[in-house]
Amino acid sequence: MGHGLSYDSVLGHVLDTASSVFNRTVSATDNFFDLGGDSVVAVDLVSRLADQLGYEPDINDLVWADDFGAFTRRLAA
Amino acid sequence: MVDGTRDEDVTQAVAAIRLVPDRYRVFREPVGVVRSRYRIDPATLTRALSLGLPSTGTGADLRFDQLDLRNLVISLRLNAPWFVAMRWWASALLQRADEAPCAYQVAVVGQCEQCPNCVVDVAPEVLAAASDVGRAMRGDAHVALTVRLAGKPVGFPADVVDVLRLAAPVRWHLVPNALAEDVAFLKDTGLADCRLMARYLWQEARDRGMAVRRAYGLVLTVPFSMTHDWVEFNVDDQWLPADPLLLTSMARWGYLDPHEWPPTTSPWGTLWRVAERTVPLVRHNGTPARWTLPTSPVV
Repeated sequence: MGHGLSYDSVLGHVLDTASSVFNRTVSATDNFFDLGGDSVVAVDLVSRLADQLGYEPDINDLVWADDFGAFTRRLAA
Repeated sequence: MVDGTRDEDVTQAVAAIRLVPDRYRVFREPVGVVRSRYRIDPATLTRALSLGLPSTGTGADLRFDQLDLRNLVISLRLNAPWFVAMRWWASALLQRADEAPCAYQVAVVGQCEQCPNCVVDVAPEVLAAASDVGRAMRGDAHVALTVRLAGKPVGFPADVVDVLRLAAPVRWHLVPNALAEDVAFLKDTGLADCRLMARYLWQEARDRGMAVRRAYGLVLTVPFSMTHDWVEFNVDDQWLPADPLLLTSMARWGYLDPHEWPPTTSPWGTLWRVAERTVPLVRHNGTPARWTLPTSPVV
């Protein structure tokens, strides 16, 4: 996994952060836009993830991923 | 943390905010979201309050007007999520340095709050203006527009430049909807947002007999496009976008070099006109719905 973190570890951060942002439980198969995500939420989520992971995810990876699981896999690229 | 420079910025910001009459304010934003949503730290908020930032209530019941807080963010260039979008715009302009035509794919994601995952209608003006219309994203769930924009245009003639220079003393300030067409407010206060500036420049150009039209559409930026208002001038049978307030503001914020992007140049390759005035881009059962516009370049 990129940046020395496992998929499961990164997924945990992603889902915890997304759950906090959307104020509901988010799963790996949820889609960002189906949850009501928009540009403001995307910037907020990526910013919070950067604090968690120690590096800034590419916001485009979040926007174009089918779901949070796919987004997490792109973080490894 | 309010040092000399920042203190001056806060002072100017609150002075500008107080130029908007109180009757337009809606005090809905609780003090609890000021830091998380607007990235305004407690020391800055305390200073702004001491300078007269409008509010109601006290202590934990303090409430603010959303536009006031957004304008404070703009003036102080804080890292609030929606202000980050301004940098996307500057990046889009800087990428136009190759002077070639460009294309974008814009997905129109409708978000109906009454029934999530419902099917929404994209405005016919949007579909008609696109170069191509298809589907995109998970399961082809959303309408995808291909938008092609022309390469670098010729410069504006002197009479257009004269009109664009009228924007020089005006500062970007989000105004209430009720003031969005109020040119007298702009002249009295030196404040305007994109709608009010478009109205002002259109009126000035029209009064001088120039070929001008208003424009509502998208700023095409990656990863999200945004809606915007501007004016267009007809030069050599081409409608060219003009937006001196935006270019001046980008320079003030340090995002663009004013020598490379003077306010009298056209911000070409980023503005896509959809209609004359604001139209809801997305409807559900005839009612305007929320939308968001994920965007990628077409290579």
